[in-house]
Parts: sequence; C-alpha cells; structure tokens
Amino acid sequence: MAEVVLKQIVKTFDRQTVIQQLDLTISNGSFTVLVGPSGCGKTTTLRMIAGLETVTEGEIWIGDQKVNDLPPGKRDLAMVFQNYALYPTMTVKENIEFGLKNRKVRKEEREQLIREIAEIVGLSDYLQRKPSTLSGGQRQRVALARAMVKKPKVFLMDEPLSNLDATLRHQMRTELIELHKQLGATFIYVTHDQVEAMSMGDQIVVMDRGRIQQTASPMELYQEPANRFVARFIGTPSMNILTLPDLPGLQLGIRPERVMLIREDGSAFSFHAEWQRTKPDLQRADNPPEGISAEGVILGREVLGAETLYKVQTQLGAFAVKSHSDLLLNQDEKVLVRLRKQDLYFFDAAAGQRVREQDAFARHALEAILSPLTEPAVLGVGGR
Amino acid sequence: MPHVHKMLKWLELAGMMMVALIFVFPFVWMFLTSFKSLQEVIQFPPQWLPETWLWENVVKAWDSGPFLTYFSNSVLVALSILILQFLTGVPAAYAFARYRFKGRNWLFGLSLIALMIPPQITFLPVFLELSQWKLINTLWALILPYSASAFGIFLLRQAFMQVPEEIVEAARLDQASEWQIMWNLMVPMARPVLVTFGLFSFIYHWNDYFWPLVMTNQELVRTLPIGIAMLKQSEGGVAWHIVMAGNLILVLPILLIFFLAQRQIIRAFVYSGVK
Repeated sequence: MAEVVLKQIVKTFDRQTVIQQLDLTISNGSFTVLVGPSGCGKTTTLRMIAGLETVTEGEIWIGDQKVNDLPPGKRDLAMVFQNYALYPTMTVKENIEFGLKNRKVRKEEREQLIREIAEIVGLSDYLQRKPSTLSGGQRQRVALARAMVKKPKVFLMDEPLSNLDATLRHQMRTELIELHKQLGATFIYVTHDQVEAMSMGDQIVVMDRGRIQQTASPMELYQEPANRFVARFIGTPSMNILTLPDLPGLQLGIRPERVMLIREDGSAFSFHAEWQRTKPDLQRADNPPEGISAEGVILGREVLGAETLYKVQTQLGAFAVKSHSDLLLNQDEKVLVRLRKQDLYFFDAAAGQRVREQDAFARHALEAILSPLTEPAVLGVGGR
Repeated sequence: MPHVHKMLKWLELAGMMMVALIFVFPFVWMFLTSFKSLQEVIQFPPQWLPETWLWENVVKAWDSGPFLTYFSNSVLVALSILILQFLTGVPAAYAFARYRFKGRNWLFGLSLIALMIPPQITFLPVFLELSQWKLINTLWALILPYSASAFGIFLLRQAFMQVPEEIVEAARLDQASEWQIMWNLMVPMARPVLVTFGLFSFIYHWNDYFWPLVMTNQELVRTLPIGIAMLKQSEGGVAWHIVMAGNLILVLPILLIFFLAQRQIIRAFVYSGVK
C-alpha cells in the first residue's frame, strides 16, 4: 500500500511546458481521478508516475521511495491502457503470466494466481484464446487481470473505459469501484469524462493547461468549485455564467438545474428538490428569500426523457435550464426566471477565481440586483 | 449487359492464364527436357514429351560431380546467411524503429544506400579484403559479406514501427528487458514480414551465381548453381538434358518450400502489402 506524492513537478516537451509546478498528494488506498479536457496534462502526469515519461523537474514519491530514476517495472505499479495494449501473439494466459515470469515467480504459484484472477474477472474459459478473438469487454478484462495479477501497490488507468459501448462502460464502472474496495490499493484514474470522474473517484483532480485547478471530493467540486473553469467543467449542461452591467469585474454563475422557470399560468417548471422545500418560505409574505427575477422566452429545448434542457433568453442573458418536469414548455413561450441568492456563484471576471459571497457583497452593492422572490399569487398555483 | 460482363470475366481469365503460362512454361520445358535423350532435346521440330522417360538423367547429373558437397554447401551458405541476417537485422531494425539517438536518420539513410548498390560494384574491394584475410575459397567468403541485409533491416523496421507504443510500455511495466521486448514481443508480431524476408533472402542466395563464382575456384567450396553451370562444360558439346536434370535438383528444394509454406507465403505478402 502506498501514498503517491508529486512535488513541484514540471514537464517540458521540446521547450514547451506541459506541466507547471504540480503538487499533488494521492493518499494510500484512495480512488483518485485526474480529469480535464484533452491536452490538460492528465495523461502526461499519469505516465510520469508510471515512469514512461521522464520528469523535467521535481520529485515523485511512491511510499517512502523517491522513484524519479526507477524504471517502470520496478515501481510496483500496474497500468491499464486505453487500447488495452495486450500482447497480440500471446494467449490470454500468457498475457497475464508475462509479468509474473519476468518477476521470477515460481510456476505453481503462477498457475494458482492466474486461476484466481481469471475467476475474479470471469475469463476462466478464455485462457487459451488469443486477444484478437475476444470482444472489447473481454479484452478490457484481460488488461485488468494482467494488472491485478501483479498485486501492485498502485493501479494506473488511462481512460480504460473509453473504447467500450455505453452499457458496458456503465457496468465496468461499477465493477471497478467494487474492485477498488476489494483490493484496497491506490487507484489513479485518468479520464476526460466528468461523469466518469464524479461517479468513481473519492478524490478528483481537475486539471487544465498543465495546472491543477482543484482537488476535492465529488460533492465539494460540485458545490464549491474553486474557479470558473471547475464550475463549468463539472455538471452537464455547464454552469451558466452571466456578465451583468451592474456587477463590473464580477461574473455570476448558476447551475442549470437550479434555475426555476415559471409559466405564465403560474405553474413551476424547473426546480431543484430544494425549491420544493423552500416553497412555504416563498409564500410567506413577511420574510421572503432573496434572489433575481427576470422575464424570458424559450429559445429551444432538448427532450431527454427524464429531463428536458431549455435555452431561455432573458434581459440578463441566455440561460441553459434543466427541468425534471414531464410537461413541456414550447418554443417562444414566455416564462419567468427565478434565481435564488444561495444558488449564485461569483467569479472574478478576469482571473476566473471564485469570489466568496461575503467578498462579493462587500465589493459591490449586490443588493441592488436582488429582490424579494415572493409572488404568492403565481407560486401558489405552481409546484408541479 | 450481362453478356458484356461475362465477356470481360472471360477476358480477365484468359489474361491471367496467359501470364501464368509465360511463367510456368520454362519450368515445364525444363522438367520435360531433363527426362529426354540428347537426340530428342536437339531435334527439330521439337518434341513435347520424351519417348521414354529417362529418370537416370537426374542420377547422371548428380554423379557427374561432387553434388552432395555442392548441395550441402548451398544449404549451409543460404541458411547461415539467413540466420546471420536475422541476428543482425532484428536489433538494428529495432533500434532504428524505436530509439531516438543522434545520427539515426543519417545511419538509416546510409543503409538504404547500401540497398541500392549491386554486388557487382563492391565485389572487387570485398574480394581483396577477403583475400587479405585468407578467406577466399572458404565458405566464409560466401557467408560473411552477406551477414547483414539492408533490405531486411528496412522491412523489419517498417514492421516494428507498426507496433503500438503502448504494447512496449505495457511490457516495460511488466519488467520485461529490452532484449525480451525485442525477441519475445516484436519478433513474433513481425512474423509475416520475417517469412517474406526469409524467403527472399534464402532464394536469392540459393540461386546466387555471381558471388560464389568470383569467390571460389575449388570444388569443395562450390555451391549448386556453379556445379550445374559446370555441367555445361563437360563432354564436348553441351548435354542439355543433363544440365536440365541438374536444374531440377537446384529448383526442387525451393519448389518444395513453396508448396509446403504456400498459405504462409501468400498471407505474408498480403500482410506486407496491405500494411
């Protein structure tokens, strides 16, 4: 079992810096996901941990050993590649066995290990087959088995599920989470898919342009993004970012699922579960919650079944809105848009850093754009 | 319309038959001639089939010189060259395909140039050097100059370059040494190319006439093609039926390889063609 620590890592390719002063601690036994758009340096980081890429500056520690100059095979880790990288001329068994043989594990022990692992990943009947005769999912399992059989301290995975179809990907996701629980080893997982990251990781590292943007648990990333990039990267559709003339130097963010749309007849269309809970408050005339109101018109919609995505144009700007209502709003329909104060995020317009509410309020007369959200006559009818 | 289609099919078939015939005819003629009497060989108009099949012509050819020596020399030379070219070509190709080092492209270019120079240009300096080493009239003179093949390096390099980098990286993570990666992973994956190259090399050196002719003048170290050419010089006029019987001995092993490894060979060519 081992902690992986990256200290002040810099990586340059041909004088182009792709990783800039990266500090990261991956705690023992964690499922850490490196996520970001392509070219953000996540795969390079993983490959440096694996030893497949040299480190330009800085130190990498696995456990209590500095591994900068240790060859990949000696780092006690295993890697699963995006395209599986199975040895095509070897049978499934030989593929799994190759690493053991190189470690001079005795034959009886090898047989025993292979039998066990094949049982776990469900490949017992395929041991004598060549990888080319297997399906994508089976190949994925062989790659996993090949990694697992070495019983490494650290598992590295480079987008291992991206070549599978949606159903299989979902299934493998669950299996990997199970596997992580069983093995208790450290998992470092690279993906560009934020849904995959959120559903699997217990620690998520969001990267962009060679820098770590934020390291946090999934819920924290969602609720407390450190900057505009993370805020927009986590969650689909992306967070709405508004630039209001009343707020110079600041930008306002709100998640599509937190925007409430109200039809002209008063029925509420899009709301987060929490809106329901605060409804009694909204209807209280004496102390209504604060927020922003605007009138809007539906520009377009995407019906996804369980949810519907709308594009709404208001005088504040265009919004993406996610609704869980079974009823549908029509194109060009007029709606009222409600944003609650506690759902608003503020960002520095230039740097993109998060500005906490207290600071935002201190810097600006934010109250000017907020108004009481109470409109009992309208809200009383809605609530579907 | 279907008529035109059918016609075209027929034309295509006829064309292929023609080409096949042009290639097969010399072999058939050689085969038939080797069982004729000398009388039948030189008569005009030529006679297709021998009156009586003189199987003893092959025996005569075989007995008219130390053919067992020629034969074993040929096998020894062609196989040794093949093995040496394999042993030198694989590491060279692997380095050219996978390593970044100073002067790599320059060195590779140099070996490509070697590919374009025919042995007729280099044989004189090579001969002088070998004679200094006192290797003329030994089998070494036939083997050593061909111990590395630019063509082989080129073909293998292409094959090694096709192997995805991840497979090599996976092997490194599996604690495989560079040596193991080369011989246990790369070479098996390049098998079609190896078969192709092996055939080219073996047939070329099996049939090679020029080099052994220059480098040897003693029966003990001669190869089959020279031995057969010598048949022409015996007994006053040329005994064509015996020469052809000798040729039969020369060609037989290669035909045998072709028949046995036919499927492999076709696959190898298809492979190296497609990729």
